[in-house]
Amino acid sequence: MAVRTPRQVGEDVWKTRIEKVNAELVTLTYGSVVAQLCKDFRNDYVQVNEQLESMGYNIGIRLIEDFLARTNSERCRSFKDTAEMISKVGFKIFLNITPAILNWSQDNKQFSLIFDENPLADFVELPDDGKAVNELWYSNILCGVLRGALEMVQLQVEAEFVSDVLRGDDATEMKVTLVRVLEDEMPVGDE
Amino acid sequence: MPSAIRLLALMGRENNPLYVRSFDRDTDSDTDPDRFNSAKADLRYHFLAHIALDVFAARLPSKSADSDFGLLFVQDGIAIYGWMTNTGVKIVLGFSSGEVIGSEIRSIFRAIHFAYISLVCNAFYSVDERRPITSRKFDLSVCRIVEAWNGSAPAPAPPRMSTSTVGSARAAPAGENVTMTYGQSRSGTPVA
Amino acid sequence: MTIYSFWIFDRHCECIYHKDFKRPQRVLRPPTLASTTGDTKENAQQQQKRVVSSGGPPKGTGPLTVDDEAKLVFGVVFSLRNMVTKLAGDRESFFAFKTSKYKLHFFETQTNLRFVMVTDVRVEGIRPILEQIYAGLYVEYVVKNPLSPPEHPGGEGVNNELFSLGLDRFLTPLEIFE
Repeated sequence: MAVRTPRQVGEDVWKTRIEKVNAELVTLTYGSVVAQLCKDFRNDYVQVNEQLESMGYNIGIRLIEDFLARTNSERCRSFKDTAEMISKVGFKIFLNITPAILNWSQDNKQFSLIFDENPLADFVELPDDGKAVNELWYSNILCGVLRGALEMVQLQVEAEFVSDVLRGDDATEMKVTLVRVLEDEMPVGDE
Repeated sequence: MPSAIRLLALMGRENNPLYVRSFDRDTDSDTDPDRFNSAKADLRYHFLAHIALDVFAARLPSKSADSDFGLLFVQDGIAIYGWMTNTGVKIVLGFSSGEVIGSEIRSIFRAIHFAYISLVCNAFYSVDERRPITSRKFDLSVCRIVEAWNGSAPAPAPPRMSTSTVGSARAAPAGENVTMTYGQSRSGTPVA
Repeated sequence: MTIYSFWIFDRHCECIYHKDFKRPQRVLRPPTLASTTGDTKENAQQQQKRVVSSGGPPKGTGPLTVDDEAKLVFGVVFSLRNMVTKLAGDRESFFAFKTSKYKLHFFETQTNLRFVMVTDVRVEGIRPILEQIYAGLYVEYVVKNPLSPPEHPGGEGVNNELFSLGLDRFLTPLEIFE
């Protein structure tokens, strides 16, 4: 059997095995979560970012199981494969976008995802309080999702946004850095 | 060349002004940021918008399900057309009268309605009937719609809405415009 | 052909789900419990535990608690798996081993969830079944249950009705279930 590229896998799974849901529903749901968090934390956007990240983490550690169950994918050989998988399959099947992978670091442990479009941020205009534009990472949940999902497949990563069109930047960019590959856990007290 | 749009007003359900904007040109320059001087004309246009409200109220009892209120009245050389959404938000457009405007006008109402929907869909926008709209994004999209109409520039691409899905994401492949309920382009077939 | 037992171990090496099916030759079962074989499994397990707690740790051919058995099963599959990867490289995994009495099938996900099924020796190639249990039952009823905790210490969240029933409904009509 010919080896299928991540792009083919993504397209295929997206077409045949994913139930679709209305985009506005997702956008509005996420939007109201973020808006509510901003209200709850009295516009302390640093905390809102953290909160979104940790919500994402909790999603990620579950989502990865769904991802693996749907795609039947093999273990990635390198972090480069992982990046391809994230963009062409992961983002494809869950959000129907394929962010570009750019800016690989020398040691191949860091790359950037460039989001041409971001279904979470449709319609959004950040609050005009002079603070949100500098502090809030509106889509920060995605960072958490990646961190959680990758941790479950033994890759400890750090993910963070470095620019966002909502803030008036030219592109929306997320940096993903591999911290280390986790070892399998050993049974405790087993002799 | 259709008549130019000179006034756009959005009135809330409680007949409060949400957005009143004049598109009269002070200069011929397309780049002058102050090319739409609102201050001068504001008061007159507020009057027109409020007169329109009375016409809306008068016609409402006999109105069928349609949003289009058509020509409301002509005053001071400005033909006022109206459109009311199902949520009671009224869109008022003032054209420099003279030429008859066909059913194309519906498309521009739809485009503006869509701009309003996008505005309301912003999670940080609090749908407060009392507060006038202050959104840069809304300003921009309205401006684009009106300029496309007034100038010879092609109408703005139809915005996406409603038919897209997420997978959670949208179904339309990137770059493909989803056909949608709102905002047909001006040159498109008028909606029946 | 038949299935004897089914186990799930999480990435922390803990047994998070266990189910006994037909076990005609549970040789390690003490004679005092022979009368309870007709009872429900839970009952039998509880009784076993009670016997152990009163009678001290199992020795020799004494009763084997579910916990001890889980440790043994996990120990075996864990060492086998490690041995296989050491010998044949990271991408290699073992599928099953066989003794004269039973066959043990193993399936590990990339998230280090391990599915183990002990069956009759004649059962062949049930890896797809284990994969289906993972994709169709575990992911659907455990992972996607928003109220279940993300980790399952002591089997919390896994042992829910939907999953148990689903598992029964899925396995019973299979040929290997007999």
